[in-house]
Amino acid sequence: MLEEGKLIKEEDLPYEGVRGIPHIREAGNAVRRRTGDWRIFRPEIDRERCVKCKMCFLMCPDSAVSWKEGPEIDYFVCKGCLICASVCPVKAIKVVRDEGPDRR
Amino acid sequence: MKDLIDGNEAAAWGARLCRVRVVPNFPITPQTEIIEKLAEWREKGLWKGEFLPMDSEHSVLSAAIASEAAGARTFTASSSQGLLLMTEMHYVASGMRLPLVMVNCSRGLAAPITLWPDNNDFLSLRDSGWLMFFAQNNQEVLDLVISAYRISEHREVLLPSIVNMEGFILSYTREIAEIPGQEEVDSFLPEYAPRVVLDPERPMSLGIPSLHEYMYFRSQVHAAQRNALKVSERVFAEFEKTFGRKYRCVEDYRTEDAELVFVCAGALSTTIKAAVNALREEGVKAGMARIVTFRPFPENRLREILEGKEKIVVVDNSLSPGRGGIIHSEVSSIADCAGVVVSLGGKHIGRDDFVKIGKKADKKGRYWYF
Repeated sequence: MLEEGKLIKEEDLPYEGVRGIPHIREAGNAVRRRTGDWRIFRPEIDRERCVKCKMCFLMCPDSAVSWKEGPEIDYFVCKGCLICASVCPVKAIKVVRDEGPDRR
Repeated sequence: MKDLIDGNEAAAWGARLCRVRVVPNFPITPQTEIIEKLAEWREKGLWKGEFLPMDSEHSVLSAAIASEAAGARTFTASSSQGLLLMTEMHYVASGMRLPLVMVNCSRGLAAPITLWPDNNDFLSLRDSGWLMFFAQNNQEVLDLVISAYRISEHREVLLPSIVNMEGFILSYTREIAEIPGQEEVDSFLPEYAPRVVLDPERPMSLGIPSLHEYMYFRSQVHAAQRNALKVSERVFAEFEKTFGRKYRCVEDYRTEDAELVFVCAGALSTTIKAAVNALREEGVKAGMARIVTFRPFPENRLREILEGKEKIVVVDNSLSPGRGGIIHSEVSSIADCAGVVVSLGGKHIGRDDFVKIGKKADKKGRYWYF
């Protein structure tokens, strides 16, 4: 990739051969793909209110909610669709505007 | 071997001699004979490739992309409405950096419906990332198809090519052309050996979604186009050594001492050459610069030819309504020039018309000639 925030002359634009072909040779690499930076709003769990019904865990379309003692949200993956917040029967998931480190 | 062939047969010969392995196809006037010829040769065992009749031109280019990605040298041809139906896939082919080659027999776009030629269909690919070549006669159709594979498959390029001929004027007009021998072509064009290939043994995703990196990948298409200009000149020089016919990104005809220079592309250039000669006989120092590679645009070479010329007239059989002739708009960026729109939908234009245009056009005006 090319350095950001730099003005390059047309003739200095590098040609990088097969690197310039948009392809991926390796299978199963989606886990490494940061989709957390698509997020505008961030779901946050209020542990006091959570009744551990597992609705958020079941309904998350991207398996970004895992289950340990209770629900855990993986912000590297979570795209902020907020389905978890809308299915929570006790409104234990807050929605806050995301300015965290996972957002670029 | 010399033979009397039309532009369509010349295109089919180009494909056959390049030993293309897959030809997805859909017939359309005035391109149909390219497909018919390949079908005939396949029946007779003269060309051994996959002949795939598809259900639309969109499917044709989709299949062509797939077979090229699987490592098979692929060829197809279309025209006009068919070319436009493919357009979405044209951008996919260049973005995936697949060096397939196709031929377009240009034909005016509906509405109203016409079958006769102008270059609006071809020039609609201006921004698609494809290398774009204009042939002026049937020999060039054949030679440019062969050259296009060499240029496209070069590792510094890896982009698809499209070779254009005006429908009917070339596609259905017979001329004597030299058909090179298979051995000669084999020595000029090595077997296709891609480095990124779809292979079930080694799964790979090609043309992936890529949000942050999108701009990088498209910049690589541009860098490849820039390389293609140098590669084209080298390939054309080697072509001359092998086959004895000389091509350049821009052909200059009697421009050295010229005061009036026509700039054009494609088959109209042969009529314009006759007009240049007629003007010279009348004492007007005329010349012509013909664009062969429209993309990449041969800016420096054109600038060299046009430098210091008194009057430049760009002739377009294409139109961007609200702007003017498409090539005129490109040449305007490097020199003051007049532009004249002629022959839309193949409207007849002859030598004497160009003589008149050459004499009457002002240095900077925009004109129409019916």
